[in-house]
Amino acid sequence: MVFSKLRKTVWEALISQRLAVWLLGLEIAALFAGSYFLAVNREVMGAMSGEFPLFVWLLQGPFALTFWLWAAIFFLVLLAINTVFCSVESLRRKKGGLITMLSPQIIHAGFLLILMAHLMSSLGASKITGQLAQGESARLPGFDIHLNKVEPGQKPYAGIDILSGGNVIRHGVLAPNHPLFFRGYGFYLQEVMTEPFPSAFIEVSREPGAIWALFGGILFTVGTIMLVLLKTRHE
Amino acid sequence: MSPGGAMSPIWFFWAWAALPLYLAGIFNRRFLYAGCLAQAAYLLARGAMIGRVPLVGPHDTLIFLSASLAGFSAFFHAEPGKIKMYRVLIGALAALFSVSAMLAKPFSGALPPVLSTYWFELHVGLSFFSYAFFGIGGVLGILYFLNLERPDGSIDKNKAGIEKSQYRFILTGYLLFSVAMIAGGVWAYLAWGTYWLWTAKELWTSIVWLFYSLYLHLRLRPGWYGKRTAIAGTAGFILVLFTYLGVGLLMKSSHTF
Repeated sequence: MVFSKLRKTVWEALISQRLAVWLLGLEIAALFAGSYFLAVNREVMGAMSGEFPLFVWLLQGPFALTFWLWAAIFFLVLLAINTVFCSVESLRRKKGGLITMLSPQIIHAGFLLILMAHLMSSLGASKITGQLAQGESARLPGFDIHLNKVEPGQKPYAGIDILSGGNVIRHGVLAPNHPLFFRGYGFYLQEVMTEPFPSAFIEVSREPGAIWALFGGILFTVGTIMLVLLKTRHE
Repeated sequence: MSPGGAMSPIWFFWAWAALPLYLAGIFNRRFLYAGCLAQAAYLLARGAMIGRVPLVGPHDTLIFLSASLAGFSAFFHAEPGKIKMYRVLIGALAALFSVSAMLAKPFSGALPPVLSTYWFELHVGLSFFSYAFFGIGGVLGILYFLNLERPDGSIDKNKAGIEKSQYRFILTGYLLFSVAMIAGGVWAYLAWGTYWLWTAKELWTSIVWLFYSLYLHLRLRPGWYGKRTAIAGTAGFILVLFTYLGVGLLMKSSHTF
């Protein structure tokens, strides 16, 4: 009896919009604090988008400066749980027409995918930047990168080869906003220089959550378009 | 337009002309649309002169915002009494943005290569369209409290109509804002190898997005629909303005080029 009552109370709390509202409010408060700490501790916080995954930085960072991010992650985890339960409950109740029932759930699914993407990136993202002279190669885990040619100017670019065992397995041209993707890595042209010798700053990064963030964003948009059409007609 | 990159005074005339037109829009709504057209003509001419979409710096973006605000304000319909106050608020806001735009120096130089992409234009254009929708939502929140109180404090039909309009504007703004953020993420991924950077701009953008998510959820709660959501809709636009202007002025972010 007591167990059944407790289960009902927990379930009602988990599916409640009131909890969602509170968690959204608390998340906003955590980010407010974060914007302050980002502004006044630029040097420490600058490393947040650095070479290592966010969680690696977070575990090593000073808690007095990162507590807001721990709080934000905690509230987001609760919000994700609340979102899942709320959607399950809505689908179980089957209230309203198909679009009325589905559009918020599609938005929720998109939101959850975006959160999952951030989690994946926070655990596994990495980047390394280095200067390569024209004609020079660099060794990366599993392959080599060779800089063939650099071209400065208004539309700079760099020609690169990716090699494995001495054989060219991929050839590409890097330019601003035009990276090359290979085996889960992205190759980005940061800067082209001619002095003291022709060279380029190349960034090699890995962002495992990117594709999921895109899927999530598309789902979120589709759900919101459905909701806008629905509400424009009915409200 | 004159060759050599300098803008002919005739085009600045169109940019300045929008200001009295918006002020006249306080008395007649058609002037608001005339102001919008004048600024659209100016932006088109400026785009043709500099060879790109003019959406960089406060001059361009504030003109874009005031033209969008005046243009999208046409979607609100109500009886004459409310329309009068509505056009006063929209006209005053559009005029304020226009004056601020004209005080800012136009940036006509070449863009850094990283900004030369359709994703950037889509990101900025949709962001300012969404700001305009949020702005109209904010104006309707103010309108909700003007001369519409019943002695018994109940919500009359007309007030509920304003609140529903506010909701529709904010929901549309939320959609545009979300798509703008996705476009920004794609652009950042192609430019810097990550769709997310931990800077003040991204954080405040998240705050705006979460705040409007909160607004949309609040509206589903019994007892919150009406006065409280009207206030929240107006408060949201204050956050938008801070994210747009305040963060750039007070904090270093990824949006400083």
